Amino acid sequence: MKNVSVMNYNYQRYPLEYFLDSMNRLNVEAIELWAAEPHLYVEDLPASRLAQIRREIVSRGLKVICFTPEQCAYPVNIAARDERLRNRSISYFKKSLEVAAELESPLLLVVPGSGFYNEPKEEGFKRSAESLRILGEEAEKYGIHIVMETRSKYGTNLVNTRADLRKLVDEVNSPFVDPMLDTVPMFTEGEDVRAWLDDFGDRLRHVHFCDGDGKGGSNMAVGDGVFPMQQYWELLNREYNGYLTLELVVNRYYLEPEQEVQKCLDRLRAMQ
Amino acid sequence: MIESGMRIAPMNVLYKFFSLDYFLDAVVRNHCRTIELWGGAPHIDIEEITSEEVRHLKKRISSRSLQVCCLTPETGLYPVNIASEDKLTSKRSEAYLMKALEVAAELGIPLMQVTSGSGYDNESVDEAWGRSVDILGRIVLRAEALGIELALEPLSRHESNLVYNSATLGRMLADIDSPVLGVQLDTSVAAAAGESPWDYFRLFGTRIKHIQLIDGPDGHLAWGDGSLPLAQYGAEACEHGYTGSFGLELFDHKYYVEPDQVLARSIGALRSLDVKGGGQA
Repeated sequence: MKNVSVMNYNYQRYPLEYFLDSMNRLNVEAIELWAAEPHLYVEDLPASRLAQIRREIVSRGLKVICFTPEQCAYPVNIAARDERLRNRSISYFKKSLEVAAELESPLLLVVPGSGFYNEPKEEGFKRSAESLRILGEEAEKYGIHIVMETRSKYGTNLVNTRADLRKLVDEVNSPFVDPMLDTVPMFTEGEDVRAWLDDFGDRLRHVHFCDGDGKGGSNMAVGDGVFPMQQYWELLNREYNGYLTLELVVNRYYLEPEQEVQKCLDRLRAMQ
Repeated sequence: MIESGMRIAPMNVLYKFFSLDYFLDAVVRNHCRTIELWGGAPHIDIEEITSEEVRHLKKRISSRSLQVCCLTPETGLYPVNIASEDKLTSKRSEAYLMKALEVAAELGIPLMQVTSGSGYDNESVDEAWGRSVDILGRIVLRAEALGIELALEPLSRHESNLVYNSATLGRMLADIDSPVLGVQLDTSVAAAAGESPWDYFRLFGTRIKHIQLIDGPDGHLAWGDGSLPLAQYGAEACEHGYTGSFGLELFDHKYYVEPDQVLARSIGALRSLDVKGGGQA
């Protein structure tokens, strides 16, 4: 279970420190830090608060294995047609790289953004790749790898399948911009873990290990949905060396977050 | 019948994967004349929008003979929380809403939506409540000066521990105590909290400034996609003499891909209702 990491997303009704304490109580060492209000919004993060957050993490013996600034709900889109929005998004991720470096995270999660649905897909794709090339160069300076996940067609018109992601990775062509797997959009597209491992091999740097309803809904607790999680678990444990993050996004997981994560961990132990 | 689309107010959040002009054209195609304007990306950047851009926006709306019944700046999804204990966040949030008021004034919009923000679930509600009252109070004063009314919308309980049902809403209205601050009723949020428009009308009467008439209770759904009694809700609103608009705040991941169909379907359902007294919104 050393390869299981937990994200603070469903702890958003509680302070960040509560989440960190909860990880200690649950004996989890690796965290994926979702960076958003009220925990930490990179645009409103003075150096003193960042240093404090770093201390809070280190003093609890925790490590950040991926830094994930909010970018789906927030007005952030590296593929936006609007230049101001696109530039602001790039600068948001540059700031995020600085914060990730300070927190010693080896990874920064960046979604490829979306074009307008009534313009040719290629145009948005081109803007996304251009932005990612800029961010890849910046990431290289810190030695941080950017990881990109697919999203369902309900979240982007650019990168829905692993073929789309492969195309984007090739187009960006940076050793610091890599693919990652989120099992929810994977399942929604009718793909499976086997195919992702075959396609990306060692280049697959990160995984969101989530269950789902199979109908395009959000990321669920392991065992609450319909995915063959046992099969995914065995395959990934055998052939993949990175972390598997529990990312609980559905709002019924917010009120008692620790109980929900505990439930996932218990179910994973039973799969061992 | 709801007269010639005067009272149905489509909202652009449904078209977040399309340009704002595309949305405005869709409203015209559906013979609606009123919109509820959502302030969010990629359509309107409240923090960054310039006066020149607002003037241009005004032309894009008026050249299509549309009017805006309410400005609803995105707050729930954005890093905006007037009850935050973090000073930078509360300052940013107050500035954001003040800027939204200026935008509403320049566009000639008579009403703006606000929410209470939220405290943490493991901390005292009273302190967060006090922070919310302080900032809302200042927003109310500025709105009054600009001649704009405010509609306070309850959030869901998983979003806020402050104003999340009719009781907490009533408490906030009493604490702020200004005729400028009224109520926004979102039928889906109300239903999720176990309440109905009737509860709201009984408690708030004419202080209800705006209604988002949407199906639910699990989401902000197009009519027919949820289980709420639309006809009954429409009748209740009219019985109580509500003359405002009905905002169509539809958002669901699946809707964003084909908003035209979703909008047409919802408008069709509303037009089939026998709702009388169509106020000239």
